[in-house]
Formats: sequence, structure tokens, C-alpha cells
Amino acid sequence: MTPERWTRVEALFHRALGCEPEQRAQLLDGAGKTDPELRQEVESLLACQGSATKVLRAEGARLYRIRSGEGQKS
Amino acid sequence: MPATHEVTQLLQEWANGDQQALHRLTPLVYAELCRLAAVYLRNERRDHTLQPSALVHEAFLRMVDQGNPSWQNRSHFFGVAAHLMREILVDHARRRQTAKRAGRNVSLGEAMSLARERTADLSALDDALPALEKLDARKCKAIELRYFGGLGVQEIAQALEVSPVTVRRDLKIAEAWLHHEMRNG
Repeated sequence: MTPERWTRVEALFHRALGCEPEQRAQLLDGAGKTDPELRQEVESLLACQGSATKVLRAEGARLYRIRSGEGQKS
Repeated sequence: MPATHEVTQLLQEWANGDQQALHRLTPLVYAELCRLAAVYLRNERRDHTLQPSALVHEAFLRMVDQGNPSWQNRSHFFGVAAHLMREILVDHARRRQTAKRAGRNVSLGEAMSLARERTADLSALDDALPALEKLDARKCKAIELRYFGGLGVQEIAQALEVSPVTVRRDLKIAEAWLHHEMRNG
């Protein structure tokens, strides 16, 4: 992704996050008319938002856990 | 361990723009983090879980002159240490995985399933982080400081010299992006 593209994704992501559900749909519809890919990218990020912190913490803890001995489950 | 005033001095020089100071500082911090990790591994119970951020904090307390604490020192130190911690822990996890596989004969099917397991459980985040670093270095730094340095939003803001609002926004999109990468990458 180019930096310009990322900046656009970021801007739309944060605008959408700040919206009520109905407004959000309108905003994304509007963006999708001129740039369907942008809409899709932002929607997939929004879908990962919220649960993201939990997942990151869990995966991070699993990956970065140091255990002594051979008792590791994974 | 190097004297605390030496580390404090190097942090000061680095903060003043001397990149050579960073080159001299990094191996010192790296060595101390490795040493602390080894001590934990020797002394703790088998199922002990080590918190990376606790280790970084301990290294800071041990290495930096606490008689002359300045915010700049602290944020610079955490910037270096959180990144090194990530490297140390990833290396450790990789070595464990390799040792486990080398230790016994496995069938092809088993090897495949081990490889898949590794991809799913172990490598996803480790692969996603460098990609994020390439895409947006500041956001990757914010994630490192949050999850490996254990810093709060205010502290990250000072370390990265941006506003707390920006840090919150950075973390929000970076977390979503990483989650998406880990699921689909």
C-alpha cells in the first residue's frame, strides 16, 4: 500500500468510527461510489476493530510468553 | 553491567542528536535484557509466565541513574528496550519451536500440522509487525511501546512526541490492521 493510500484508508477509518451506524453506512456508500477498494479496505479494518485489542493481547501473550521447562502447550 | 551513569549519559547524548550514542547504547540494553530473562528462567517455576513489560521496567531501574531521572531518558530508554524485547522474545520462541521439532522423529503429516500450528499461533503476529513497520513506522513503535514496553497512552505520546489523541488513533487502527493481517495474512 502506498503512503497516500494508507493516509486515505486511515482518514476514512477514523471518520467511520466516529459515526453512528446509519451515518457510517452512508459514509462508506459514498466512498464506495468513487473508490470501491477503499471502502472494502476500510470495512475489513472496521470489522477487526474492537475485538482487535483482545486478539492482539492473546496472540501477543502466547507468542511472547517465556516459559522455563518444556511445559509449553503450543 | 555498565554503570548507571554511563547509560544515563548515552541516553542524554542520543537525545541531543548523537546517533553514535544509540549504537553504543543498544548492545548494553540488549545484554541486560538477555541477562534478566536468563535469571528469570533459572529461578522461576516451570510454568512461570514472564511479562515482557515487567522486564523492560526492571532493566530501566537497574540501568538508568535514578538519582537524575528525566522524562527524556525514560522515553528514549523504553523506545530502545521495547524493540529489543520483541526481538529477544521472538528469537526465544523460534528456538524453542526448532528444538521441539528437532527432538523427535515426525511423520510428514505431523510436520505439516506443526508447520500450520506455527503459522497460526506463533508467526502471525511476528510476520505482521515488520509489515506494519514498513507501512507506518510510528504506529508500529506505538504498538511496541504499548505491548512490549507496557507504557500508557500519555507516556507513548511523550516518547513519540505526538498528542495522546494521535496515540489513541494510531493504536486503534494499528491494532485493527494487525488483527486483519493475522487473520488473513
